[in-house]
This record gives sequence, C-alpha cells and structure tokens, in this order.
Amino acid sequence: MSPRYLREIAHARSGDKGSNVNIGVIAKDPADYQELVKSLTPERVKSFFSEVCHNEVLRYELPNLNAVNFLLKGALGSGGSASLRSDAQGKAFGEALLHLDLNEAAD
Amino acid sequence: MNNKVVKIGCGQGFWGDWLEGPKRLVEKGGLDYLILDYLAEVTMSVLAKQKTRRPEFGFGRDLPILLKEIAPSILNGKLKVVTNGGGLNPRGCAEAVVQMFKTNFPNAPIPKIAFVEGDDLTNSISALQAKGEKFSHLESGAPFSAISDRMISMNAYTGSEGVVEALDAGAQIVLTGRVADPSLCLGPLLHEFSWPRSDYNLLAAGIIAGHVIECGTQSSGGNYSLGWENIKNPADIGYPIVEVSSNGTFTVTKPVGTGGEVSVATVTEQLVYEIGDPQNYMTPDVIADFTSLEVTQEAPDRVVVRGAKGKPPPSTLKISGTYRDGFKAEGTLVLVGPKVFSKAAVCRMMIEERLRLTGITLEELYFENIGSFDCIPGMAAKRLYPEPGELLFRVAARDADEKKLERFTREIAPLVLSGPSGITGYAGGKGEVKEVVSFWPSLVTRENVPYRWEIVS
Repeated sequence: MSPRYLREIAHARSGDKGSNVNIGVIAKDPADYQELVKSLTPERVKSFFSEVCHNEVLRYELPNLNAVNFLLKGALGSGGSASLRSDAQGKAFGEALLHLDLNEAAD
Repeated sequence: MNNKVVKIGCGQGFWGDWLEGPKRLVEKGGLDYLILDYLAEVTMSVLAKQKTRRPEFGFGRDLPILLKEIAPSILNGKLKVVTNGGGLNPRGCAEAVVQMFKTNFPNAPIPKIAFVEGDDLTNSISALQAKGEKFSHLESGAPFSAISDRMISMNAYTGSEGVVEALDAGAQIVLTGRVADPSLCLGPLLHEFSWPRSDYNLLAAGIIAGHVIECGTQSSGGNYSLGWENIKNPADIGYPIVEVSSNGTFTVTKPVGTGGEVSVATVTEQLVYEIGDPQNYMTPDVIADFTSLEVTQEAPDRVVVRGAKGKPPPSTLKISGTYRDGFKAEGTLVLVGPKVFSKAAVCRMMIEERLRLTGITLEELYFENIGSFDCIPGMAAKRLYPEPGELLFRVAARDADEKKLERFTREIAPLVLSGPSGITGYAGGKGEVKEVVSFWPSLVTRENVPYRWEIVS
C-alpha cells in the first residue's frame, strides 16, 4: 500500500510543558477529524516516538477545532536548559509527527 | 449593552523576539494596550543566572530600549503597556525605565510607571516550609531537599490582580514579575470592563485571548505548519491584536498592510499550543476550557473567537523554580560527503575513545547528526530522507565538574586534523562551558503569595 502521511490530512504545532512535549494536531478538512481520532491513537504516537516516549502519552479531543492534543510525558528527558538536545523544547515534534504513515500497520 | 472594544496587541512573544516588533505594531496597530511577554521556563533560568552575577540585573534589560522606541505613544496618553519583563527584579526594572524616560525625554512629565511583585518566594522558603509548604517537584514528586542548597529562585505564577489594581490607579506602564503570560492580557480587560471575578466564562475569554497573542506572531502566520510557504511578506509579519468586546467575544487580527496571515488555521495552531488538557487549562485567574470555542473567519485577517468557558481557579499556584544543576558544553563540526554517516560514526568513536584514554567519564555525552532529522532521538533511524551531502556533527556533554567539561571541549577541534577527510566549520573555536540552571516546578497555597504593587514615578 502506498504511504498516506499524516501531513496529507493534518497540520501540527508542538512545544514544551515542563519535561513533557505538547503536540496539537489539526485536521485540514473537518471531514478528516474522525480519521484523526480513529487512527492517531496515543499508542501510535508513543510508538512513533518510541525512543523518547518511555512514559504515558495522553490524548485530548477538541472536536470544535477539529483537533487532537497530545501530551508526551517526560519525552524531553531532563528538559529545558538542562537538555543536551538541539530540540530541547520539543518544537520539532509536530513537524516530525506529520511524517507518520497512516497506512503503515500500527504497532 | 456596552459596545466598547478594547484593542490589545502583543509585541514580544519571548525575551529575544524581534526588536522592531513592538514599534511597528504600535505605529500601525491603533492599540489601547501593548503587552510584551518575556518569560518562559528557560527565560527564568537565564534571568536567575544573570541575577546571581549582578543582583541589580534579573529583568529584561532590553525593555527600556524597546519602551524608548514607543515612548511617544505612551507620553501622549494613548497607549498603555503591560509586561512581565520585570522578571526576577520588577522594582529594578521600573527604576531602569524611569531612568530611560529621564534621560531621553527630559522635558516630558514621566508617565506613571508601576511594578507588581510578590511572586518572588526565594527568600521566604523557610518561613513557608514552617507553614507546611513542601515544594516537592510537581512532576516527579522528588522532595525539595534534593535541590534546596542549589536553589537560585522560586517564583509563583501569579494572576492579573496586581496588574488590574495598578491600572485602576492610573498606571501607564505596568512591569511585573512572574505574572502568567495570558494574565497580562486579562488584566487590562478586567480594568476596562470591570468584569466580576466570579464570572469565570469572561475570565476564560480574556485568558484565551491572551493565550492567542502571548507568543507574538505564532497566531499571525509565524511557525505556521499548514501554510508557511504561502505566507505573504513574512519579513514584515504583523504582530497579533485582539479586539475584545465586553461579552468576551474577541477578534484576532493584525495591523493592516503588514505581512503574515490571520486565519482559522493560524489561530487554531496557536490555540492548541502547549495547553495540555484543553478542558482544564490552568492559570492563576481561572481554569479555561478550549473545547467550547467557536472560531470563524469574519473577513480577511479577521478571526472571531467566542464561547469560552471557565471554572474557578485552583487553590494552589504553580511555582517556577530554578536551581544550579552542573555544567554543559557543546561543539560542532561540518562533515562533507560522501559517506557522512560513516564519518560521523568515526568522529563519535574517536571522541568517546579519547575521553576514555584521558580518564574522563562524563555524566552525559550526547551526539547528533544535524541534517539527518536527528534533533529528536530515533527519527534519523527512520531514514525519512536520503543521506545528505553534508552533515553538522554535534556533540554535547553535561557534568557536575566544570573542569572535566573544559577538557571535553578540547576533544572536538583535533578531529579536523586527525579524523576522516573533509571536516570543516570549526571557525567558532573551542566551545564555552556554561552553567546549567534547571527548572523546578512545584506548588504553593495561593494565600501564601500576597502580591504588592507600587507606582514609582
């Protein structure tokens, strides 16, 4: 099956909340919101970021904005100014998540 | 029905934002209020570092310079400014701003400048512990004793109360400490509309309006995932404005003729930015609910937001604490292809092995191949893009021992001569060892954080 990247149906913005990463994902077309809810489960997001997601991933639904919001607990490790990562504040996670292939079998 | 509309713009989304932002926004925006958001978790660490070196610092030292640029609008009584750029030293900040007016506008009466403090708990920790405050880490639950001897600052996120009272008293510039970012916007609204503190839906509307503009151009076309390629004139992107009505409905817009875009998509990206649980967005003023909002495009670059709901604020305030947490250093090299991944692997091996030969063990050593989607661990392994023609090899380290890190910084440049062929980009020289100031979030009972404000001029 040819890939169907999340980028085709959604846009996203991410940042930090303590040592957690916050990613908001918004359906481009309201008709695709249900697919977001169905396909973009917290488990799938956790698996996509498996190397940094060792704790729970929470998902919140905002049907009024055709959006889902994820909180990746502890995904920044030591976080903020202590982090050695270039993306110490989780700004790149949104753009990264849009590479998720919706047609790839979820782990 | 009160038809008054209050226009609030945000000219700085963080300390270090575009210096021209406030000036251009004030010139073209027709604002009643300008807010400048200076403080993030990382910023508190930076200010704490500066204040330990020079006690008279600890505030946004470019703030007087920014205010000088927009001073005519303040002096003619049209514009008021509310900012948390007072940081860890609001009084010192206010004195610096007064001095700026005296020096640059000697013939004009100095405007009413207020500072708001009380958020700084750094020197009252023992007294508060005696009252039963624990200050344990909000996320990990670790006890405060783990960092108490390394603690630099402890500031409570405070609400809009002091801002409102200072404005009620006629202040034209209000300089605060760790007032929560969106509360900078709510303060002027409470002052203008006299909304009752018990109307949580209105408080939530003011907080959400603040959330939309607090990150500057992130709501007007900046960092815009959906359409960044089509943003017009991004160099002169318009800073955002909210036009708020007495019923809490607000319109997000930007000055006419500026670059950028205000659309349902740009506003929605900002609405979901760093909010955690959207039904329980915690602020010192109110708990706001984002799931009842209606967001509609009314006209080009005009988006209406209505329907905010709110609940009473929590009985505790969040604390932004900082503490000394060792040192870190980093260095980079440019590796030219072909085979940049193999070259990076050799560089990594050489640094690890040479540190071992020198007898240096570091608490943390971290490598990134920038250019291969490696800024988030694990992404590079997905090989989403082909091998690049060049790569920025980055190594960073952290340790409690500054001397070990000084030695570490000497291990990077020698690879230019001893490593694989085609290494360049080391013009910056040996990396600098920096002190790490880490963040310690915790809670404190609201009653234990009395706010104060004062007009200094």
